[in-house]
Amino acid sequence: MRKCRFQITHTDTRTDHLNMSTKPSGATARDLRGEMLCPCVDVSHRDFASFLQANSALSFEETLWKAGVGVNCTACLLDLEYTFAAAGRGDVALSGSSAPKATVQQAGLKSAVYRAIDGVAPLVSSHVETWSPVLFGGGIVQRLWIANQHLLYKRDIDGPVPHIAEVTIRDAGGNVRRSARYDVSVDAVLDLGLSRFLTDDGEVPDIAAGSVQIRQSWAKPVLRGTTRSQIEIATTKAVCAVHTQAPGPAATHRFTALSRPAEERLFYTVVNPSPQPLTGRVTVCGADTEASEPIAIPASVPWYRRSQRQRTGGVCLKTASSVLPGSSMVTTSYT
Amino acid sequence: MTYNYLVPSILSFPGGTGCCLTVPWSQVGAQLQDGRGTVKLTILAIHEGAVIEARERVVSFEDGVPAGGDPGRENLDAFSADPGVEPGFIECGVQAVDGETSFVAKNPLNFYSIYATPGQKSYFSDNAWKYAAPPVIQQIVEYGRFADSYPAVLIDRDQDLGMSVILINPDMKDIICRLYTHDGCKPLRVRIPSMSARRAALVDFLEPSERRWRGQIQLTANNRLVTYIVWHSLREPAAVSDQEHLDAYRGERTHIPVTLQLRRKVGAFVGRKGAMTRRTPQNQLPWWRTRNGGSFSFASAR
Repeated sequence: MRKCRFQITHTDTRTDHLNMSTKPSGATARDLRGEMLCPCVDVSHRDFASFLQANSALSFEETLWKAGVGVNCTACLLDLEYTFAAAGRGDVALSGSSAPKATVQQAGLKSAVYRAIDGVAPLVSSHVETWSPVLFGGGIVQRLWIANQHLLYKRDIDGPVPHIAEVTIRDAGGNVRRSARYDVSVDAVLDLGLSRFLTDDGEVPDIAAGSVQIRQSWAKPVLRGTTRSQIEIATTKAVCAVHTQAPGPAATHRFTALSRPAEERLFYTVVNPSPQPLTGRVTVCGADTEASEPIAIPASVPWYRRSQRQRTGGVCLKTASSVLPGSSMVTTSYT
Repeated sequence: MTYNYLVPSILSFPGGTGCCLTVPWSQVGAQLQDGRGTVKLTILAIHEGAVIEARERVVSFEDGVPAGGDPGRENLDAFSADPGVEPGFIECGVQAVDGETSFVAKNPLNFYSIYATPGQKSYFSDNAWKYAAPPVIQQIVEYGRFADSYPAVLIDRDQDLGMSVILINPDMKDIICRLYTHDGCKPLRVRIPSMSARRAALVDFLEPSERRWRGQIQLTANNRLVTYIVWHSLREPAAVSDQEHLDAYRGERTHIPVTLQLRRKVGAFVGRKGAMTRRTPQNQLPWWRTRNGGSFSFASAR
């Protein structure tokens, strides 16, 4: 067996990986991963934690290279990644009971008190709430997908439990057009068309927007698994999708897009999920010009508009001296 | 604790398209100790184990912003005229260039890149952590194995709608990946050589006579991969309409201690008042300007 390239400081608790299968039955997966971390170079969790403490400025790759771990058969790479990330948070103690005392002290008294209180407190559902714009018109069909499935290739772990999705769809004026509660049972999928709720008379606009609010909860404690909600937008020519998003407190959002009027239309949506009206400004910046205009969005309604050049006035569309000939850059900020 | 680097990030680099990286320099400045220092941004486009395009930019910061103004965007086009090749990937990292510079956090730059081809719809995609991504770390804690999933797969031969998974291996050893469907189709097995990417066409799950398939997929691998899913034409796979990351099979608990929930609510309330927000030149707003949360999204229609 090759010798580790760094100083081993705790040799007494090292476990030969060949003996791991002899551990008492009932051991958890974490126990079975146990003390040994990289058998190729005979390095334990404890060794690696000591190394990380002494070399905290190294990046992950530098750590692997300098310690000589995870570079031979690479089977332990994910465990190394986990231990590396845990060390960055000052809680490498998670990697085993043999963590150095100094590392445990780093976690601090406050964390220890919180951990003790949390350990005896009753559990409550964390109620994940996310939002998304809903588009309709021009052949667009937007759907909501929530899957609640087992890990397909490993069903013996804690499986999913039935979970509840409360879905509220609002039109651009903030009026609730549909509100329903769906039970998503184990290995079932919620597939809900959203766009159809935004029109009464079948009249289809060129493009318009509403919003959807999804509040998810679980009947009993479990892991989230596949239940992150996704929206899918299908047109007659293509499909795209993205996950829904929890609202954030940031007061300014920025994005950059390529303005290519001959090839595509660009538009953006702003959803106000708060119970208060939202006011602010949209600023569109070209390379050396910018135009700004105020917006006001009622509570919990979406607001949208297209980025048409004639409506945003003095937007300067300059040809980019880039690898994307004929394109222009537009940066928009929202406050 | 301070660091001399930010965790690198990875994004895909498919053939036949250019990639515009809108580097968020404000995120670098916000993580610099005292908002000042000199850093080096390194962008590497890697294909089949070789660096095919490289950019380096050294930027000095004062008060959290680049001293010489925003250095601008990075455009990479090594593949733009070559749609038939296997995909590559782009690695983006930031390091301190001297002993005077240090970071108070090492979060990777979080931004959307823009992929554009003349005559086609452009699309956005965000980058992934090269390592230490919290959902993957949580997953390893709970399941001990790498697992990604995607719930909304649609393959339709009649409508010419196809989807593929981009599998990126930024490490030095080959990785074997297996993809599964919810309805028990024969798994797809893909070997991804080191420092390379592969595209697994999900139409391969279909029997030759099958015209349409709707379902969910999951994948696992003998090591961690960076994964994306792309929507494209079946007849012309380089005609991509969108790209999105897969979602980790989540290891987060659905229930939390009531005391933790209480602390979070108090933290959120105080945060809305601005008291717990680290002030940077970009977010120096009074609390009454930040009390209304906003959700923002962007889309393009063909």
